[in-house]
Amino acid sequence: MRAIVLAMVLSVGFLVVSVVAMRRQQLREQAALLWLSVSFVMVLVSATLPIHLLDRVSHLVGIAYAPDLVLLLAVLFLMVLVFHLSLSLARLSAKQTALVQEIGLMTAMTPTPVAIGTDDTTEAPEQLRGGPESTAPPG
Amino acid sequence: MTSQPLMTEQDIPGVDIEMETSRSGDATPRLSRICVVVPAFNEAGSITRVISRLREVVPDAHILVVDDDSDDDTATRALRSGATVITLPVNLGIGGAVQAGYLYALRHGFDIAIQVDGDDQHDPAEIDRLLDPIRSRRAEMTVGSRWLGRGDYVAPAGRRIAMRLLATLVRWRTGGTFTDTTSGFRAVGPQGIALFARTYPTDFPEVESLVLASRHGLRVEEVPVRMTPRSHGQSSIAGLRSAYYMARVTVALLIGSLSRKDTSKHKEAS
Repeated sequence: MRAIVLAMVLSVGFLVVSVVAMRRQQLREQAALLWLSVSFVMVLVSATLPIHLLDRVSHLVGIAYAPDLVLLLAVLFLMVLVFHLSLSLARLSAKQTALVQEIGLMTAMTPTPVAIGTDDTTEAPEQLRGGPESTAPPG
Repeated sequence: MTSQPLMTEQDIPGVDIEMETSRSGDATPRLSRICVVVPAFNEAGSITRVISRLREVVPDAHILVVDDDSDDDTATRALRSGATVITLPVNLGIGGAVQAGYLYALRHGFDIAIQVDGDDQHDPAEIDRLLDPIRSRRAEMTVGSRWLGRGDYVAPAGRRIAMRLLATLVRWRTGGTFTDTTSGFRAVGPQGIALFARTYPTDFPEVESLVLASRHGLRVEEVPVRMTPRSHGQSSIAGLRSAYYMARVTVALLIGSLSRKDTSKHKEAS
């Protein structure tokens, strides 16, 4: 009985934390759904401890020791999750690179301000030679 | 631009119209608008010398320093020496910095982009050698190699073995023979600018970009150049990390994203 109480407290606690995070919009839809599902599975497993649901499922899939099933599922779940996060990270960093480069281009600095179309008949100023000026003001 | 005919300089996308019209008589396309891209990270000790040498040797070229969020005053010194400076707000690494330079070259309609390191390793006097094959349309990309007889560059034994391994890997992927795959002293024509502005490897840019360019049908030619051992700063590929570097670069070259031809980062540029 004490085991059930402990399991229920932990799973319901996790469920509450997920819901609160969701309400505060700290979780994105996709992630929120994932963690809600995880919470519900935890609650389900805890609540069905008296009727030995976990043991029955383990025997059904041919695992003699029920906790092994839990461990297996947990490891699989975490591996998939970490891989997914790894992909997201790569995507984010590619986006960040593009943004940083854009900012760099937008804030490009040229050596000195150059007035175009002045009556300077001598050789073109250094900044005009060979290349266009930046659109951004210097400094 | 994988299988379509090679671009001519008239086809360069992204040319700033305003900029072209504001400069009377310069809108006619010719293969001479050169942008020298100098990626620099904490190179305050050498950047001034590099830029003044560049201005001496290629006075007609536009010099662009990409300051990769340096901690020192690389950007200020570069600006004072007469270069245009792009300062990246966060550190992207050499690949991201160089790609920013190619983006700049593409958007401003340059025909040729030359890549020169900010650490004074590359002698600007050798730039003509890089430009010759591109000007004569023999190649779309040239890479300066310090191992083809010019200069007396000496590398430690371990480094030499690593470089040979890299060369073998690159030959396997491209079918071309390269002696100096990690050389960052290179030049590209319009096709290379467009390609690298769109997609550029971030992990091992020097090596991977050779494979990338070859796979996109660019003719890449190695030319002998003289290089001086760096006078300041540290190589990004040195010390204990080199073994780890070799393992990663091998994986990157063998199964890397290069098997896919296009990983568009900057879609508008295509």
